[in-house]
Amino acid sequence: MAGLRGATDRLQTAVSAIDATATPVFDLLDDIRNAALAAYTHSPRFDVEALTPLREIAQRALLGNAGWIAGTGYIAEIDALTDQPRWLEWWMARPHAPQPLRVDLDPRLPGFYDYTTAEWFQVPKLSGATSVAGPYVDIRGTNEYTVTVSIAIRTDSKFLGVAAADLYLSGLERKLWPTLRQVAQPAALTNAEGRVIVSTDWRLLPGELLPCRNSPSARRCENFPWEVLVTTSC
Amino acid sequence: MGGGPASGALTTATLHAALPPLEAPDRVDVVARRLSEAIRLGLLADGQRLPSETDLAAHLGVSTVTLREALARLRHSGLLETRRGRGGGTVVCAPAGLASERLRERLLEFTVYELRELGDHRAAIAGMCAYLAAERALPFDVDRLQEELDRLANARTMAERWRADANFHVVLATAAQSSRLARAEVGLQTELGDVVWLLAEHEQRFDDIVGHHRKVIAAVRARRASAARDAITRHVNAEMVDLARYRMALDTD
Repeated sequence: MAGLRGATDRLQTAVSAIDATATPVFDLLDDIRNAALAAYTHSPRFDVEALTPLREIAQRALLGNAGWIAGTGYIAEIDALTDQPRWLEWWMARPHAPQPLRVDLDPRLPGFYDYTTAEWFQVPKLSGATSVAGPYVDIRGTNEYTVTVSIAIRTDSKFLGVAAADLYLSGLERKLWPTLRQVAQPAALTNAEGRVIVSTDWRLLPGELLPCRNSPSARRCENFPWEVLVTTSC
Repeated sequence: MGGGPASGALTTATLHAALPPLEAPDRVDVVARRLSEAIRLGLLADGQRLPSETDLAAHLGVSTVTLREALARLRHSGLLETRRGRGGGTVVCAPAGLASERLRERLLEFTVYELRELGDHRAAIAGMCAYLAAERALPFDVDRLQEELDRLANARTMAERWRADANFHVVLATAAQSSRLARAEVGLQTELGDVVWLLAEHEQRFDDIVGHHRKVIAAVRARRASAARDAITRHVNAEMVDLARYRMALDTD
């Protein structure tokens, strides 16, 4: 029994360590939200130009969280900006300097990136709650297998869009692997749907679905809708 | 293998495997096809002036050399022309005539061999996507596949049909949880473009496509990976054989 209790403690330690990684992400999203609200309130026109301070926050955050936050920015509600019907002020981490994301925002084009239907946009918009979407393939966007954390940006009366940050699966694995490894038994970090995000069990790879639900060993994270569990109990 | 330590000159095969050539010529293809697609779909209207070469190259994320070569091809096929003086620059010449005639012209740009190669590649990608989707998709993903199928079944114009079918394949790739397969699928769609929709002009053929997709969804929902792979592979293969046949018939007319 001592061995089992030890494993449970180690699961709890892993969960706490994973929760701690959320702090820079949530801080960044708050900064982006505040910058968007400031631009909306104080600029003569709420247009792409007015987002300059926000752009600088995004770029700085990518440099400061290299290998962890893969992309970040503000995604505008349709017609929230005065000069663009749809807009992603989105920056991605790149080896030398952050690069802007370029996507097709014309609904008539075959490659149209319709972000308004994405979970990371819909959930904050409709519920006001923080969303942690994925992992999912962000096709026509970054094309990466991604977890997106997002929050709503709203004034008293108006939804302006969302502030979001992308965590890529490789980054998540590099960051969380040592933590998961310390569980000492084969373990996995999964999302609310039971999809594997990081795993130390070769029989269960990232992106796959857990063969069981509600494993007795599962411990829930607080900052992410995720669980850590010992996979041999599954 | 010749045995012994490697010595002397590299073979072409080794050189290609170790240091594959940069993809500049491919990018010319992609840019040329994308532009001609936009013109054919009427997204770029007749008489519309394109941005400067520098701006357009930056927008597409290619070098001006690549862009210039692509533009030259479109000028050659009469989709663009250069006008001098005021209001000059590169101007769109949308071809008159039925969309299907334009598609036939485009199909003639492919050799039968190229169509077969594209068909093999598409079948490999789509087949694996369907297989993995059956193992990894959640009910939510299956609902999205169903939405695309409904959109396809209700599509009226060829462009709508093409887009819904393309989206069906992309959703399948994302349901497989594989960014590489999804990228490959999108890349192949860009290469082949809308010529597949020459086949969907015939209502019988179109009903077949909808029927095939229905089978794929049923297999994914039932988590029958091999059945899902077989269904979509057969569909893609049949489509390319039909396209090759169509292409051959064009030459004998």
